[in-house]
Amino acid sequence: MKNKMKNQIIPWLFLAPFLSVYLCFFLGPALYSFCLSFMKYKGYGAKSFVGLGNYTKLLNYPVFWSSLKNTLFYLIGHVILVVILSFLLAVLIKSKVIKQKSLFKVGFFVPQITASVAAIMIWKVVLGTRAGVINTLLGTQIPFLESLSLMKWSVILVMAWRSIGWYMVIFFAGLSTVSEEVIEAAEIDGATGFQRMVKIIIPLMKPTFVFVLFNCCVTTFKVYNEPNLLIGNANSAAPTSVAPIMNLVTNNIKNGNFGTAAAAGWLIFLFIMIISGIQAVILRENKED
Amino acid sequence: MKRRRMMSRVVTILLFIFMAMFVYPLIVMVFGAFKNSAELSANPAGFPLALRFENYKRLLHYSDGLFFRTLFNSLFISSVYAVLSIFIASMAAYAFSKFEFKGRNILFTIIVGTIMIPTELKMPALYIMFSKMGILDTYLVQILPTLASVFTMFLMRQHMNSVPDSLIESGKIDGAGPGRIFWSIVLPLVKPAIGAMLILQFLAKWNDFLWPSMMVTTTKKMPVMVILPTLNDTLDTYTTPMELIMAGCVCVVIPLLIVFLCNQDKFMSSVSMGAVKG
Repeated sequence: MKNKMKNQIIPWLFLAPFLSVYLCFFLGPALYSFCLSFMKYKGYGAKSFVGLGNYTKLLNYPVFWSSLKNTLFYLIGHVILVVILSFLLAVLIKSKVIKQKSLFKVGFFVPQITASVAAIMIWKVVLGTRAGVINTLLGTQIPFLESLSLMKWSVILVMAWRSIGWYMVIFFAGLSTVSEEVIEAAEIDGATGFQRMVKIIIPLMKPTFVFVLFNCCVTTFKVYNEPNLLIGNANSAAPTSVAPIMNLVTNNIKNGNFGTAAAAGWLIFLFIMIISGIQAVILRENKED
Repeated sequence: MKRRRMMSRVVTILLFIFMAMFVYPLIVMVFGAFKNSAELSANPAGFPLALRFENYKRLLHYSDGLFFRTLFNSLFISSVYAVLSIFIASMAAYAFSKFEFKGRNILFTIIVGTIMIPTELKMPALYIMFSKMGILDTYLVQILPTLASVFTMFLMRQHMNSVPDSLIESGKIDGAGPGRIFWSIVLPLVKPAIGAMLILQFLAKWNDFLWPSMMVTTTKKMPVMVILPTLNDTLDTYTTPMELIMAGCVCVVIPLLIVFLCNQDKFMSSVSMGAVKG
């Protein structure tokens, strides 16, 4: 009897530190945020219940739609660029054509080791209009960080520069699960390199593609540093024409509109769930084929 | 055959050029840190005229050594965070993996079910909580929010599940208690996972900008990432001394880069281990 008691208590002792931190700083605040999103609260004084007021306020706010549009622009551009390039790099470097495998692996991974804030500051020098690296080399004055149409592409470029190496390594791991025998068999049957890629390697690597796509979508949806530091500067956040949706959370906290900030946070979560839902549906449809 | 070798050479050269474009911004950074303001704007792309360490001296004296203090802050916060978060996650993973207790499966499902909730969503609530607790603007507030990492716990449990029960039984027979078994049998066997998570958690905290920029207002307590874009020792608040910032970037990037180059395989396997999630 005594022994049985002990077995019920000991696991809880091991769980206690994680569980208490989880409840206090993970689950608790998430639920509190949910309640806050239905209230008007300045951080002091009285809270008042406003129902869906914060949500309707956000949805009627033009800045909400422009930031959503910006974020989706970053998401689509970044995801397409990253998935294609990192997959191609992984396939190329792994193939027989390339001999200096570890050199290339390291070379493309190095930007990932550069901290994101440092990377942004470096790219400010690279993309500058009057004294930028690219413009000096080309002898031009292309306003990469100043023209409305180019700014967003610059943001995507800087994000992709850092993340391509990361996803390349994930594709390496995925490629190594494709068995050599299957590929050799196809080669003997006379499949060309392109056929092997489209008909065998890509379908076999579907789980990796799904993971990369999902992960890349979620992280890009929460993008904050790149638009704010590359286009804005230390003293002022990004202008609304490039601001990501995360700015709705931070700006509302800074202005003391905690209810609206919480509502914006939950809307971001909702969009992430929608994105993953769409991906799950696509995945299931493909399985039925 | 000859054509094939030709092609291989062409592809290698093209890939090499592409890689050079990837690494080039870092060369711009290192060279830029040796230039002075006028030289950086006249010649941002090429070699510096001389190896001047003036920018690093400016960093050293910047606001009473503020820059290196915040660099140390970052190092301290990221290390403490990585070690602590992995330790509590491993303890929980051990309980979930190696004990049978009431409610185990339900609790585990609930916790893993919340893995998708982003930190950003909790920010308004945590801001109010921390300000009521009076710990805004401390080191603690930079460590606490994501300390209970569900993903780390999940990954550690996956790895602990593959530790054979017979090893634990033989430990019990030798008279080792649960704490002893955890520390000397289970943890050593999941070392690769611990190493990978140490790297990932350290880098996540090291890179963090959003959280500390919202929660910390005293410059002395900030991590270096918040200070880096604001570096300015000139009297003119409208221009940004990019040469000084480049020197700051070198101090932030190069030490980590050296650690990476010495442990490439560990870094890369940590990435792919983190991806086994799905």
